[in-house]
Amino acid sequence: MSLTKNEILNFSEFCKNNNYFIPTDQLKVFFEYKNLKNLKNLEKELLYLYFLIPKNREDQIHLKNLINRYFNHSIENNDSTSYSLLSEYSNDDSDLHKIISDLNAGNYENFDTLVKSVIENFGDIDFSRPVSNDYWLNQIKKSFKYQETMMLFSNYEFDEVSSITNLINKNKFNDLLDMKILEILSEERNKAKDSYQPSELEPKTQLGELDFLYTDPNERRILLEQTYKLGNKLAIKFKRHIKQASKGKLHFRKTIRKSMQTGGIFQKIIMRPKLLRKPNLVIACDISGSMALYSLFGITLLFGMVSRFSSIKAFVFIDGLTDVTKTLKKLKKNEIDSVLHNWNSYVKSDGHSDYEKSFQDLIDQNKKLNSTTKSLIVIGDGRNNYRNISEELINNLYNQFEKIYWMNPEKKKYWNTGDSQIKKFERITKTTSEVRNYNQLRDFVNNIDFKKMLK
Amino acid sequence: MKINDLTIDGLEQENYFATQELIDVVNAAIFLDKPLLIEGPAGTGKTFLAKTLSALLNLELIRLQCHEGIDEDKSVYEWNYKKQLLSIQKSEENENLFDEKYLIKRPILTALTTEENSLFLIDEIDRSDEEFEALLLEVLAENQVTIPEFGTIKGSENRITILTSNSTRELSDALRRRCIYYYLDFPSIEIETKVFMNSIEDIDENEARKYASLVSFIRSLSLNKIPSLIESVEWVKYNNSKDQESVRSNLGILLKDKSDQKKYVEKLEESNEFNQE
Repeated sequence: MSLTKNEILNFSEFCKNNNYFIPTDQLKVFFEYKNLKNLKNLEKELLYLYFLIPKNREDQIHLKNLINRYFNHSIENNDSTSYSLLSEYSNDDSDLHKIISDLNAGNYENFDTLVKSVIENFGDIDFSRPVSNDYWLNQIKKSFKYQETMMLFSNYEFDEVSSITNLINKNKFNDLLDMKILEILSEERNKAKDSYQPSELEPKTQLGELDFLYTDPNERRILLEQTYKLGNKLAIKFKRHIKQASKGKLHFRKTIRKSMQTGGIFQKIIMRPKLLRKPNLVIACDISGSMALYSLFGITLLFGMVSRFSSIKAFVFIDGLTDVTKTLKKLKKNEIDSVLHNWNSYVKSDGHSDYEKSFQDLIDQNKKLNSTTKSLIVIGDGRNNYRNISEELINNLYNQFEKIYWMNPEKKKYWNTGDSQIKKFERITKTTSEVRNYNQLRDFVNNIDFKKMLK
Repeated sequence: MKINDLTIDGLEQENYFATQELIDVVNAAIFLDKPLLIEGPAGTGKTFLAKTLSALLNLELIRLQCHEGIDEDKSVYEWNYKKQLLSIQKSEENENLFDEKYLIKRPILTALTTEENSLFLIDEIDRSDEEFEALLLEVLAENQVTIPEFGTIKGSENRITILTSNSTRELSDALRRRCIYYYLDFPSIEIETKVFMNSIEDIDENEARKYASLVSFIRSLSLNKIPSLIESVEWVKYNNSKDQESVRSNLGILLKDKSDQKKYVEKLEESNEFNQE
């Protein structure tokens, strides 16, 4: 089986519908290679399609998912699938040793019978109940047989290295067991021809389009890392703009080199380019309860920027403003959530968000420092807990900051409902965007025009 | 350059353990005569791959180490002003001062003009400035360099180019477009086991596998500085030779950050508690 041109074109169309564009010249390289090497194997072809077309890690992951969805074929699985056979297991001729060596050899028969016995032991499962397979899985997990199976791993005495290996083995085995149980359950359910469609069989959405709120810890780790990089990128984008060809300090080495042309006489003096002015930017992030997980991503973005640039000021606010620039600078990448752990220390009065007071603080602070900062990025939902926001504040804010960019993590259809007062701010902001997932965040960062911002 | 396809076994003879995917991509890059851009965290064997290839295929290794502020003078060519000055004073005739004998070749020009088969390694491209990337575009795409006083120098065809990057900054799309891209991640347990068995004396497979899964577990904790392959090899080597009782000692070889060490010890205690249950 081999890929034809038509199939590739269809796939390219499919990618286009999913926000990924395959450049024509890269596709040309792929066909060139395919013809020269005379590739006939679908697996190899998909592998090269994956390696020759995307040019950075983000795109690579995206394309991998798309190939997985379109051709139903997964590539580059770096996760190690085999188990470590510890010497402790083999001591007393145990079941575990047999099971694991069978699994390593790719022999799943014994494992399948084990899983079936676990399910049968649980008793009859009533599929007419409108609950998902996950529910039944959790019920089975509580059963005695399941617990007994998992206890296989804890009957030994280990030294420290082996104990970690055992833990890894156990987790891997646990995942495999759960997956197999779910598989059998859904098979049984299909036999019963129940119309109920369990949610875990639906394809997962792209990581970039996944709502921050619904991420699991693993996905969150990947996304937070990317968000941190995005913060760096935003800071660098800033720096590049202000780096202008103005004269700074003497460039000694180049001047000497140049003087060699004229026999050692300094005719032309070469200067290093100078940083014209430091970027003055204020970012404020709402960390009140209604922001939920979004504030973690907000703070990661702040951290990414602050760690790159000294003159960016970062604030968090609930019912009053706190400067966290110095706090963030002392932190390391994996300690960011400690800001949220100290949530109490940022509460000024009652712990419900108060935009009026927070922005008043911001304006006062800016006036006190006689700052020339004119740009402000706000991450917040504009929900003021039924407190008033006065026209005066809006005007003052606009006088103080001419360029305001607003990220709102709330769904657009809920804006201006209930206690949301986003429309008051929308009047004075340059852009107000809904930012609920990584792709929206990336677009927001990419669309900020720094040329206009610094004027 | 016409070279037979590389295989896993071939690279293993040179003590480099790779996945089939990496070898496929290297083969494709050599076959298509395109530069290969390898990105990934520090200490996963990006530079070592280039060294291995040059040893395996008998190529001359020309290395350009990038750093902040690298420019044309340091990377492509420079005119030898002293020699030019001397030659003006010596000869009376109007000699051409921009001749090849006054040219000092830097790595890029050396790589282009060398007669032998060569491997050109541009190391840590992400440390250079944006402007330097633009300079590389002509070399990578057209295989030539233009010197204003001298003309265009066309490069020879017998060359493999490898770029490495730690992704501390985003490379431009123009550069990426001209390369073949591979993301080299930390090795899987299988590969690390092979590395341990290869580079450490008297360690059996079971032991190596145990250590490899321990190291992969450590990497999966969210650390500030993830231990590289070399560090893990050194650590296992030391632990194995001294017959240490506890894996908590000598942590400084593996983890070089205080909070990382603390985190690791905490996790160890957790797993011990689990095993005692």
